[in-house]
Order: sequence, then structure tokens, then C-alpha cells
Amino acid sequence: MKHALFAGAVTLASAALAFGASAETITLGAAVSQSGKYSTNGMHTINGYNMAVELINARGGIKVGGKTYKLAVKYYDDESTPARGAELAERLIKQDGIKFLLGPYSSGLTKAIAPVTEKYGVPMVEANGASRSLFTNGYKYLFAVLSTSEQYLASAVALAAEMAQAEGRDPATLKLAGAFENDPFSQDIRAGVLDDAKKFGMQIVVDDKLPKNLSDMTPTMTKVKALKPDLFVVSGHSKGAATATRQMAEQNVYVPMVAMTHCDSADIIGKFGKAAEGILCAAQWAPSLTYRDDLFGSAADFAKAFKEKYGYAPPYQAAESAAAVEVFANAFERAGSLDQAKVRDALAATDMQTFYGNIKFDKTGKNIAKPMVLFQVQDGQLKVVAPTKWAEAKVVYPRKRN
Amino acid sequence: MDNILTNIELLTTLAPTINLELIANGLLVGAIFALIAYGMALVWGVMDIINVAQGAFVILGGYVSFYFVNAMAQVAPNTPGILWIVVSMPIAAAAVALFSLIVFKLVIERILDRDLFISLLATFGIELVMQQAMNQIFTAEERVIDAHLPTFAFLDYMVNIPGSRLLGAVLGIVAAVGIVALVRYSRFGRAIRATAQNPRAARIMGIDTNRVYAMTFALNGAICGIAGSIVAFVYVLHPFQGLVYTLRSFAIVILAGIGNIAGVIFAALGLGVYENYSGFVLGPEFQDGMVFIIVPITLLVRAWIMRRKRQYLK
Repeated sequence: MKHALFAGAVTLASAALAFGASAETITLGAAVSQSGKYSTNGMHTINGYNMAVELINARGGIKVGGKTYKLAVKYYDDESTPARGAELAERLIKQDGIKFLLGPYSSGLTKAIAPVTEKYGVPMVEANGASRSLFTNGYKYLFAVLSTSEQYLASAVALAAEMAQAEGRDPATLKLAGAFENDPFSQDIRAGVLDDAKKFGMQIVVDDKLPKNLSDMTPTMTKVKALKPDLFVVSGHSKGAATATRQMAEQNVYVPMVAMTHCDSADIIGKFGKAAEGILCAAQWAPSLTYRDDLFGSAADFAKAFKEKYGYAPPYQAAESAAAVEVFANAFERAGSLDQAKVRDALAATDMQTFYGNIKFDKTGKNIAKPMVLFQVQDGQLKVVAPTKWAEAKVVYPRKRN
Repeated sequence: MDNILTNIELLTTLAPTINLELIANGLLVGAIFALIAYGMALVWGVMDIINVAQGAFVILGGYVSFYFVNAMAQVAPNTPGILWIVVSMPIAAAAVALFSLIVFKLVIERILDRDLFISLLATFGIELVMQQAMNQIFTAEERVIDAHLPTFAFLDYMVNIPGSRLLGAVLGIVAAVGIVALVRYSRFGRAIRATAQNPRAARIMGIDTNRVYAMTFALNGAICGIAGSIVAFVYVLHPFQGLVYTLRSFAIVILAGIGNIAGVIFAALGLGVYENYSGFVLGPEFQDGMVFIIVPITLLVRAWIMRRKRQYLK
């Protein structure tokens, strides 16, 4: 009874003091796309943030230096435009007096906002900006819980090498074909893939740049068919994944191992059924992983709770967003203060496991403790096949011919 | 540079059969472009309006087709999808034609007598509004129709003709022939041609030119609707994808010359092949650029020829 009364009082107080620095509420700020081309993923981001905030509050909030605080988030719509994102970050900090920021959706918007938070010394934990160029500017207040983009498909290269060795073949004899969209994110992925391929001494036979408004990949497919690589890597957001899956089947392009990004958001299984069989997909997170934390429980528990609340299975964008809030909460408690510099130092020292994965930042603020996972489409389902520690199923190699 | 040399080597010595595949696929793609470009040439020739929103109309038609095919798959799951794809084409054509009529009444009618610059601005505005509206209504998710058609392989799998493209090209050609026949042999077509030749004279002869303009624009809408359904099962639909088709049809019409129907078809087929080759040799990132470079080159060559004929003073 006393507890309920107290909770009621806190809710009232936080409602009354929703803006600015209230005594009982820590308000985080976030500019997230609610309209424009990122609106779908922006919604996943917001749902992830809200899910974690509400659960933390329901569990009694955060203890900082002996006082208990509730969390709240103030959102603005950045309209999927970087310039607007930077403007809103400035407004959150200067007008609304927000002292801590959560990240926006996409690398481009994070890139626009990071200089602002840096300028005002506002710690930002972001969950949806993977471009490695975010971490080469020496930012001190930027922290990312997700794996950076050059790691996306590197695991596929390693897997191809592993498979070759199992067959008694030298990985240096492998031929690799790649098609990457001509945007910073996909070019990062390309850099990661080429680095790893070089490490194994693989030969790169196709290295195509896909245009932004891609409609047709036939020339690339013809080239791949003629050069017969052992591994074919595609990264071109959802459109690239959909186009590549369709045209590989249509043009009878057979490569023993095919790896892509964005197959889940492109829903290649739903769209193309059998044509998607055997394709490897890179993802930040999967509900079947065995990570866990005290707040959400296991990854599967999070997926279940999320589905109950929002009516759809959580994509990894939602999961990593929820994890970003957890990281903030953890840092507040360890800092024992709401001083921005102290919270920043506490963030830098983060070393924890969440349902989303292990989180530990390096000097540049990127998370170095969590590997990417690789799914494979097997019998119309995405099954984790790498890293082997979390594999639900054995990788099917070589891919079956349709 | 090395890449380019290797690619040329592939074409000439290592795997010459793939030339056939590049040509075949280029022709099939060109057939779809031909349809869209024909609609653009029609509006351009008759109304003197360059429809920058052409691609957005195509994508709209694709969405109509996509939702229709999906709804039918729910209602009658045991019928073959291909049936509904074919049925969806006239539906998409009608829907986009109707939409075009509305756009005509709201915007195009008011800019008919204005200069080209105004029409460019107006149709560009229409395109922006359509893109954003489609983004809000249909979401930014990529949509495709899977026709479940086999691929025909020749020469030990080196030359592959996907059934969906073949179907797209056949349907595109059937539609194009129908429309060309309509313009050439029907009363309505005669009115269109008369208006294109001389609107004032046509008006004096009792042709309601405004109605002809409205019907021409609607006819273009129908063409875009059909092309959109083809795009949905050959390529990928996305609210912002229309530009690809606008720019290609623009290049084709420039290359063919306005009012040159046969030229449009040959230019489109040629462009398809040319584009496939430039994508293969130079890499896909140059594909668009190689298409657009055709526009200034064509214009320069035309100007040069005209100057030699001394028809025009400098």
C-alpha cells in the first residue's frame, strides 16, 4: 500500500515536471525519425527506448548517489534529415536543458548530431549508427552499443575460410565476389570484407559498386556467373538484398556461399521463398542468443515481452535501442552523480552483459565486446549458424542448387 | 582500370557467350523502357509537357498491382499467381489513368499554355508530392510480386532468360502495339494527332482540344500503370524508385526525337543493351551516368547536323 502510494506520488511528480531537470526524473533526449524514409526503423528505435524506460521505472527506477530517479525520454521528429537532427539536438540541449542524449536512427543522422553533443559535452549513447567513420573523429561523448559496419560481413569471410579448411582446401585459393552500394555504410562493410579476405589471401574477382537508386543487377550477376567465385557478398540495404536474391535465382547464378546484409528487413524469405534458401544474413542480434541481464532476462524473454507490448517480433534495431537505455541506467548508478563528465567517465568504463550482448567500449566509443551473428535461411527460417558458440544449426555448405 | 580490362577480356576471349546474355537481357529490359518512354513522348509531343512525374506514375501502378495480386492471393489461394498478375494490369492501368485525370484537372490543365519551364516545375512538384504520399501510405518497405516463373537457360547455363522478364517484355510489346494502333487508327487517335499537329486548326475543326489533352494524359497514365505492374514482378517497388524510369525515358525520347514512335522503340531497346554493357564493363556505379551522358551528346550531335544543313543561324 505504502509502495503504491509512493509510486503514485512519483508518477504525479514526474508528470508535473516532465520538462527540464526535475528532482525525481532524469529526462533523456532523442531526435528520432518519425516521418520520412527512416520512419519505420525510427519507430522500432522509439519502441525499444520506451520499452526499457518503462520497465526500469516499473522496477522502481535508478539509484544515483542514494536518491531514486525515474527515467523519461523527450522525443523530437528529425524527419529523416541530418540537418534537422543537428538542429533538434541543439534545441534539446540548449532550450530544453537535456543533459543526456540517446541516439537517432541511422549512421547519417548520428554523424550530424555527434558534433553537437560533443560541443556541449553531452554524453550520447547511440544504438543505430554503425558507420565506422563515426569513431575516427576522436569523439569523447559518443558511445555505440552496436557492432560497427566493417564487422557486418567479416564473419562470413571467416566462415568461408573455415569451410574451405574443413574440405582440406587452402583458404588462399578461394575467390570472392562482392557488390556493395555506393554509400558510406556499405562501403564500410566492403572495407571490412576486403581486409579479411586479404588476411586469408583470397582473390577478389568482382568488386562492384551498386548505385543508390539500384534497379537492376544483371551485369553484376553475369560477371559473377562467368567468374565462378566461392563466396558472393552483397550489401545494398533492403533494396540490394531483394534485388540480389531475385536476380540470382532468375539468372541461375550459383555460388556455394552467399552472404548479405538486410535480408531480415527486406524479408527475402517472405518475398521469394525458395530462392532465399541457403543465403547467409548478417545481424546485430537474434532472440535465440543466450545473453541475459537482470532487467529483461534473456534475449528470448525480451523478444516475448516486446511482442506482447507492440504486437510484432522485435527487429534488432529495437533490441539495441533498449540496450542503449540500459547502458545509460547502469552508468548513472556507477557514476553516483548526474554530473555530465562523471557520467561520461562511467560510460567509458562500462563492462556489462545485456540481453543484447556484452558491452564494453574502446577509446573511440564503439562496442568491442559483441560479435555480429550470421543467420542462414534454412527451410524458410532464419537460423543462427555463426559464431559457433550460439549456433542453433549447422551451416549448410555448399548452398543447395535450386 | 584493371577491372575494366579484365571485364573486356571476359567478353572477348574468356567467356564470349555472355555477350548473348547481356544483349538478350538488355533487349528485354529495353522493351519495358520503350513502353514508359512512349507515354512520355506522347504527352511531350501532343501537350508540349515533359512529365517529370512519369516514374512516380509507374511506381503507383506497381503498387496498385502489388496490392491487387496480394489481395487475390488471400481470396483465392489456389489460383496461379500469374493469372492475377495479368488481370492486375488493366486494373493498374485504369487506376493510374483515373489518377492522371485528377492530376490533369488540378494542375496540368492550368499550365497547358505556359512555357516548358513551368511544366517542368509543376510536374516535378507532382513527383515530390506523389513520392512522399506513397512513402506515407505504402511505407518505405521494398515490395515485389513473385511471378514464380522459370528461367530458360541456354548454352550450358551461360545464357539465361528469366521468365518474368520475358513475360514483361511480351506484355509490354502487346500494350505498346495496342496503344500505337489506337493512336493511329481510332477516331480518338486521329483527334490526338490533329491536336498535336496544330491545336488551333484542330479547335476550328470542332475538336475539343482540352478533352484531347485530358485523354492523352490519362492514356499516358494507363501506360504507366501497365509498366508499373511489369516493374513490380521484374524489379523492386519503392516510393522513391520512380526517378530511374523518368530519367531513362527522358534519355530515350531525346535520343529518338519527339514524334518519332519507331525511334522510341529502337532507342529503348538499344539503351537497354548499352546500359547492360556499360554496367558490365565499367561497373554498375557508372550505369546511370552512361545513360545520362547520351542526352548532351545527342543534343550536340543534332545541333551540329542542323548547323551543317544551314537551316539554323548560329
